[in-house]
Amino acid sequence: MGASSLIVLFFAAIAFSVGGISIAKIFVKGVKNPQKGQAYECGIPATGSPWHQFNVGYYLFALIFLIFDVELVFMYPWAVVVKQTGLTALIEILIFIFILFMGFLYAHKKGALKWM
Amino acid sequence: MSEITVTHILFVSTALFFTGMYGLFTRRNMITMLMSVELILNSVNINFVAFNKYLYPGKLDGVFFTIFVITIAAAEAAVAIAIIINLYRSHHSIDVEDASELKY
Amino acid sequence: MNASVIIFYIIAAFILGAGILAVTTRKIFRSAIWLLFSLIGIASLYFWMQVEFVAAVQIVVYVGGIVVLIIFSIFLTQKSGDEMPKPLKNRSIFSALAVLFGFAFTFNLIKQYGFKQIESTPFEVKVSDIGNQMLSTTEHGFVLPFEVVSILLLAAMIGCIVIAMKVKHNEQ
Repeated sequence: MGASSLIVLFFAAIAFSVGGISIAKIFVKGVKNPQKGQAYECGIPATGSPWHQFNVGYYLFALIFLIFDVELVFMYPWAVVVKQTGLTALIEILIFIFILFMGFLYAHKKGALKWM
Repeated sequence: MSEITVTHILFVSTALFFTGMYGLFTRRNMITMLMSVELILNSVNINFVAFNKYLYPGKLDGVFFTIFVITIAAAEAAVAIAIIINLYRSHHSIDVEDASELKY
Repeated sequence: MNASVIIFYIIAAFILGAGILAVTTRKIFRSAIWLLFSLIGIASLYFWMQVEFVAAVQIVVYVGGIVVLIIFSIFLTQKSGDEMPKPLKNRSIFSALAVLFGFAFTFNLIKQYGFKQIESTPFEVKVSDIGNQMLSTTEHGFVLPFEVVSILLLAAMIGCIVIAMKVKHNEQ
């Protein structure tokens, strides 16, 4: 599995996807109407444009996700070496998690995790 | 030209840096300016990893710098977007020309 | 021209093409998606340089976190299907000139510098090495930045909650 087989696989992937789409374009004789292009929402006709504005609550969830996502990046190398490093590693990660847990408690207390 | 050296990778990161610069100069929308800043930070990360790989292969400092820069970029993007949302609430626009109260 | 060189040029063209489209396209949502592709290209450049851990971090944090946050912010603040106004002609011409001049200057500088590459030591990044150096309290240990980063993340989190939730109390 060298680098040259990667190139072959790269072009094979492109040929596969482009070939599939172009064959479908040739053979499918579809009828196009606005009804067909609509999003399916439980059978009810869709109202409004899909580009409308969303609630701020979504942003807070994404923010808390991002912060703990970054925390995970630091926890992974820690988890690999915790067995050989021993007690020091445990104390260090406990301080780390304690500080971030304060933030989680703050978010919980402010009601950032409540659905509004 | 048969071997990729550190110079080639530096050319890519320089081009990416100036692409981000162009976006920062021409865009007046705050979110797109933030995206240009992300491009610039990424070009710096490529530099760190390339220097570590080609010039100091026995060490890991460039990798550590990259990880910390990515972390700080995440925090920076979160705070910047919070500010943008707050600005949109008070001005109903996220154009930098409209938010000129802090200028003077 | 062996295969690894060709792969490098493909990756470089992908990164730069997606980056240029991200800063020039006029629909903001498409701009975010081009930024996403550019970041994925950078992650594949890290894979090409055999630093798999950094590539994984790039995908997890940038592609999975920051771009999602940017797309959320687009949904929160814009009619995102609309086109943005064109930049002023003078401004785009002069910034293109400045950027080209800066690129030529830096290009020349890098080309003349002549880096001394070390080929003898193999470069490999083991995650256990990263973990050991990150947690060691001796010389060349990164334990202090590791703890300080948690305070930075705490400050960012509290700051974002304070800034983004401020107006909601007045409404209720």
